[in-house]
Amino acid sequence: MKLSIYNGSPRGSSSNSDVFSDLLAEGMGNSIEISKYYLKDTAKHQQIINDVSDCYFVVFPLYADLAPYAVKVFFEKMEENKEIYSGKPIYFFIHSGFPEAKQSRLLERYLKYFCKIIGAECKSVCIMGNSEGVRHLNRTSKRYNRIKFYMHSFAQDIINDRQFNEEGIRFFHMMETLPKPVLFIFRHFPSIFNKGFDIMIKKKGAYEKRFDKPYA
Amino acid sequence: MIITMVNGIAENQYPDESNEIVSAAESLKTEHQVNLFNLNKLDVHPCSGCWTCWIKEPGRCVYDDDMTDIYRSTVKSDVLIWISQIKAGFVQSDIRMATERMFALLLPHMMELNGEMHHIPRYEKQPKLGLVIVGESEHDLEQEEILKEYMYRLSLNFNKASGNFVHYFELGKGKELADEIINL
Repeated sequence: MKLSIYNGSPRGSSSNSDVFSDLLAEGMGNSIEISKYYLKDTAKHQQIINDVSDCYFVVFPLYADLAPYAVKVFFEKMEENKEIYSGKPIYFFIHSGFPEAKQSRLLERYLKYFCKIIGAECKSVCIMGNSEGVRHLNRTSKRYNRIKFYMHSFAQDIINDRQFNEEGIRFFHMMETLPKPVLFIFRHFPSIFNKGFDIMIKKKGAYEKRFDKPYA
Repeated sequence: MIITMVNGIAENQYPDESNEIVSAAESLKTEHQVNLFNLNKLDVHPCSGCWTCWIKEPGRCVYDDDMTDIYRSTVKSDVLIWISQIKAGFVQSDIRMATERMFALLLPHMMELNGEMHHIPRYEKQPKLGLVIVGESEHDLEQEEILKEYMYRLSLNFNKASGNFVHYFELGKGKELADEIINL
């Protein structure tokens, strides 16, 4: 059995997506052959597609309410080569900085629709919220190790041709929408939630121009 | 009214439809300002996810390419129209590329809207959004629902859900398109 891992993050090897794909590959052990590809270089897409596998794992962040540009280009190439994917299982892992899974539901729906178009089997779509910063997690932290545990469990699901397990899906899902108390606080005191951005902007020495309108 | 139109259709594809859409845009020019951009003639880089526009040089994209002209037009516009064909069941990738770059027009900061977290527009003017689909006279309902939901979600970020449409363009119906833009 052979698995292709497609990392569709615009950040490539320094992405949060890379953490997830590496953990998944680690969880596979030596049981199957794995090819790992980055999709950000669109010139290599045909070459990537030509490396045919038995199943596929696609990971990328939610981007402007859908998939990043390079992923969309790749999907168009997959459509041109749909005979390669016909009947084969594709697993998707999509993540976003938003805590709510609701933000990614449209993308989930599109991925299922896309698989139908190319005749592939959309085996599972896992949605993860609050993923920004995962790549900076300490490898001994509790959160990192829980992510590792569930990515390893997903690896076993793929090896055994199963859908992603429900417990793992629930772990990454976090919340469908913001709970009412959180929503109340966010509505009335948004600065609490936006503090992280201000800290990052300050660190770059750009705080005074954070509301600049350079294209006005 | 100021209208920005971004056309993703390549010159050699759907020539009849493209000509008619351009004519519809021309007809609007008698009363409105229409800025039409043909993506296939422009140099536009894909977003690299570097966050320069959010935290390093607020509001300014790291790429100083032809997207700058589209930005300058968009922030003055009442309506922003994307013209696309369907590929892999969705808006073509060139249009997606330009759409992603539009996030430089938003703040990284979030606000609550319809019970969800969304980015805050950086500019006062928040154009309504339109998507014109070419070459899909016999599309399926699922595709249409997905596109409508997509435009709604984009409009949550770009204009606080104040207006959007999806228009499946048909030959001979340029006036209907012009009317839909004006009445948005």
